[in-house]
Parts: sequence; structure tokens; C-alpha cells
Amino acid sequence: MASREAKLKFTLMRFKGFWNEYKRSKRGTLGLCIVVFYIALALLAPFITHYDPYAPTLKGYYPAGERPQIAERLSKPSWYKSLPGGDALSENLFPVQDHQLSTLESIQAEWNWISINCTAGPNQTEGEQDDGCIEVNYTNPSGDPHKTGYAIVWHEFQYPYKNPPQSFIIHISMFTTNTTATSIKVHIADDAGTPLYTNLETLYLSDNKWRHTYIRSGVSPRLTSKTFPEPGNYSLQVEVTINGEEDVTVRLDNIDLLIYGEVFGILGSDGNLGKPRDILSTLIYGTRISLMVGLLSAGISTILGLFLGLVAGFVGGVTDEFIMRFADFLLVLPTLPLLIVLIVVTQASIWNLILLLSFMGWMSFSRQVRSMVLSIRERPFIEAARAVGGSNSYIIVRHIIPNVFALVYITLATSVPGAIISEASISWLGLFDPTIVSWGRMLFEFTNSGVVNRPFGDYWFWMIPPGIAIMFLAMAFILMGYSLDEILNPKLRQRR
Amino acid sequence: MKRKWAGLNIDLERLSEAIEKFFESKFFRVIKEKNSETIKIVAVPKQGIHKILEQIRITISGKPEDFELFFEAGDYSHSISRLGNFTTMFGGGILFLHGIRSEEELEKLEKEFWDYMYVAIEFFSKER
Repeated sequence: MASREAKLKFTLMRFKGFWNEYKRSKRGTLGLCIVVFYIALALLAPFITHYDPYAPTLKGYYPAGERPQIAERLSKPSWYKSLPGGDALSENLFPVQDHQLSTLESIQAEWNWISINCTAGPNQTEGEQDDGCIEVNYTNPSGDPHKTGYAIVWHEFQYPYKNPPQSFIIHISMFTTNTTATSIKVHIADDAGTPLYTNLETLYLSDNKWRHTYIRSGVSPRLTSKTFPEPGNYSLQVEVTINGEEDVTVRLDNIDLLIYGEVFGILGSDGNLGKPRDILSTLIYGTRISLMVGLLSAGISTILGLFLGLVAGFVGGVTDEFIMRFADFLLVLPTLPLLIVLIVVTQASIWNLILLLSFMGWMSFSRQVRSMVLSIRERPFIEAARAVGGSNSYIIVRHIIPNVFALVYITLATSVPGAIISEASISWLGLFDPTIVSWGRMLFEFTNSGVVNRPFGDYWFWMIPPGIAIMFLAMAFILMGYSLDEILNPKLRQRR
Repeated sequence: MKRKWAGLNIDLERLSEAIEKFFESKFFRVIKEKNSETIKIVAVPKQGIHKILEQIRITISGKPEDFELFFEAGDYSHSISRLGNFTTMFGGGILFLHGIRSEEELEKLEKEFWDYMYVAIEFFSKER
């Protein structure tokens, strides 16, 4: 027990000594700080990002189909508004607070209504999810075929930006009974109530079911500038017209207006078709993939290299020649083209990539280990161990591995950047799993988005951040590797 | 690497000549520089003969009865192998091979040098 404690104490002392030496290296400390920062980002990604890049949609209940996007494509960073002339830029605006009309209070606070030949008002229990809704009741006891019921429900809001938005989406759920001639129109109107936008499609409803729909403006500067020509008060109106001889009930629920501005988030949004992503969230999530690929492939290749280097150096002879010539053969091959071929032949999954990178990364380490083993096995303490009957495995485990182990830390640190850059290169070439969000994938999407031909200043915020992230992470591991090399590499220690 | 000898009374000039001969026998080009306190020998590897990529500097300092020998080589080979290691995907592996072979040769040469030095110093000490 005492010897175990003594061993632990000795190990701690050695670590303390190493740490004191490492701390003195400025570049090593800088590299470590950067790596710790990236690891923290990777671990805390779900907590520090507002949007999940794997599902870049708004939270909330939208039964008309997929939940709406978080921003319009290629929105610029929000801080553009602080630049000269930037105050005119429009931001995302979601004026309806409770689009599910869940409580009487929220309906009364947010919505207004008028009606002619019918009644309109809140209903607390008959909503699409058995919560609140706005109900229009039309009765025609005399059976007059020329009677028309008419109701308007509207929500007032302020649009504070000089520039029009990029686009907007209206979501609405509707329910009718006993009618074949009810029309519902949705308008966006100005302060005076004049419709500036009316959805072109009039919805004729004919059954007892809830129907849900999205009305999308699309990215049309002409339409959005006509709808929101200047800052001011606007209203979202739902107009219900009922013609018929029978009594009719119309219910409206899940009414939402989503206005997508020109700026969004700290780094803007990307150009992904359909569901643009928040670039900052994508960047933070990308840290996970880069670190995972880098660390795992470096770890596996180091273990492989250690094993083969030990075997080659210790066994020697034909085994050594075979392993080293194979290592030399792989070393002189540029691994990127080989990796491209192999990733195309195998499936482009993350695990395949990690295994392939591991297979291509063991050679240099095994050569270094073999070189050290050749030197160590001639030393007197190995001869002494042999003389007292130490087996090969005992000598390897107790004497050789501890002496070459310093190289493991160095190799781990220096192998990671290569793996990170390889993953980024493969992703950038579009050969990596398209469902995985990574920095290389961001660059690939930028390259293939069509905006690459536009002036650099327009969409730099999509391309530069992943490039910088790759550069800093790779540089951090290189700095750490160099510092560890200077401290732990026995050859360098001797020569200094 | 540095090694020290004391209490032997060795002729340092003859020792430096022995070192020159050692490197010349290994086909190095040797340059010697002497001042009052030290003797410096620079061994430059000949291209096409050696895999070693850098110069070796031997410094003899001190007095005949108490002197030190320094065997120094730069870390060019190591830098080359590190660069090669980072760039294997673009064919940098060849640089790594050059670097590591140079390091291996250098280590072998250093071992031979110190073995030779022990023999030479013992011989010179017995001669007096």
C-alpha cells in the first residue's frame, strides 16, 4: 500500500515538474488555452447556441407542416446595424406573442374584431388544441340566400425599420361547419386599415376539419417594399366572408406573422436553401465534429503506430523491414488523393473517415518509436533485465514503453491538426456525410451556393469564420505539440 | 550533449586532431577554429554520402586536466520531420523520411563519437 502511495506521489511530482516546465512555454500555454476554449465550446454547444443547426426552425406549434425557418437566407450579421448607414436595415420581427391564442387574456390583449350579420369573439375551449381560438358565428334563420356575414379579425403591430424585410410568412389554422361558400382572406394593412398585401388565394372551405396553411411571400423585394414601405403601424387582418342559407361556425387559430429581416444573429445566416442556419450556432456545433475527428483519429493512429513501432524495433529482422518499408511506402504517398478515393469507395460516414485517417496517420509515429526502441534496446538496463530472466513482454511493458511514452503525448498533439485539416478538406470537397454540420461542410456549402462569385464583402461572414476556426484549432495543437516536443523529446533535450 | 573529464592531463590539441580524423574518416568536411579558451570543430556532411542534414559542432573547452566536450547539432532534421509530419496529406511524408533518417544517422554517429572519445582519451592519458 505504501509503495502504491509512493508511486502516486512520484507520479504527481513528475507531473508537477512537467507542468512547471510547460507553463514556462508561452506558445504551449497559448495553444492549451485555445484548445480548452474549443473543448468548452464543443461541450456546451447545446447550451450556448440559440438554434440547433441540425433543425434550424423556430420553436412553437405550427401544424401546417414543418416549423418555419429561423431567418431568411444570407441575412447579414446584426452588428451591421451599428455601421454607418446600417440603422435602416430590418431585423426579424415576430409581432404575435401568443399565436396559439391559448388564453382569453392573450386573445383580448392582441386581437380585435368587428362583424356584420354575424358574431365574432374569443372561444376558450374549441381551439385546434382544445384551447382558445377566435370564433365567428353566422346564423340565417330565415334562410335568405342573399344574406352575407362578414367579420374581420386583426392584430396591430409596429414595423420600426426603414428598409423592408426580406420576406414574411403567415400561418393560420381554420375550421368551418356546414358551408360550401366561406372565404377567408389574409391581409397586411397600413395604419388606416388599407390592405397593402392580400394573399391571392381565397380559401374555400367545405368540411368539418381543421385546415392549416402557410402563406409565404418569398424573397421578393418588390412585394415586401410594397407591403412595408416605411416604418409605422400595420395590422395583420383575417377577413371572413360567409354566404349561405345554413348556420355556419368558423374558428381561427394559430395565426402568426413572421417577418424576416435583412440582419440576423451575431454572424448572420447561411444560404442553405429551405432552412437557413444561424452561422454562429453552426460554427459552434462544427467544433464538435472537428475535435471528435481530430482527437479520435490521432488517438487510434498513435496506438497503431506505437504497437507497430514497438514490434518493428524490438523484433527487428524481416518483421522490421516489412513494417518499415510499408510505412515508408505510405509515407511518400500524398494521403489526400488516397483518402479521397477511399472515402468515395467506402461510405462517407464519420466513423469511416476516422478509421481512414487513423490508417493514414500511424506511419511517422511508428518510425519514431522504432528509432527510439532501437536505441533503448542496446542500453545496459535492458541487458540487465534480460540477464535476470526478464521476458520480452516484461521488457517491453516495464522498460521500453515507459521510455517511449513521452513521444505519445507529442504525437497526439501533432497528429490532431492533420486530421482536422483532412476532415475539413474532405468536407469542403463535398465527400463527407452531408447530414453532419462541420466547418469544412460550411465552406463546401458556401462554395456551392452561387454567392461565391459575388463581391467578397457581401457574404464574407459565411466563409471567413469556419476558415479562422480551422486555422486556430490546428495552430493551437501545433503550438502544444511543439512545446511538448521541446520538453519531452529526449533527443531534443540532449541536444539543447 | 556535454561530457566532462577531470584529473587526466590530456593534450587538447592532439585530442582535437583525433576528432578531426574521426570525422574525416566518416567523409565529413572539417573546419577547425582555435582561440585561447576553446577549440571548435565543425563537421559538415558531404552531400550524396550522408543522410545527415546538418552540421555538427564539437567544442573542447577548459584545461588539459579539466576539460569538457560538447557535441551539438542543430534541430534542422527535426524541423524537417515535423514539417513533413504535418503535411503528409500533400506528400510531405518524404520530408518526414529525410528528417527522421537524418536524426537516426545523427544519433548513431553521436554514439560512435563518444565511444571513440573514451578510447582516445584513455589512450592519451596513458601516453603521458
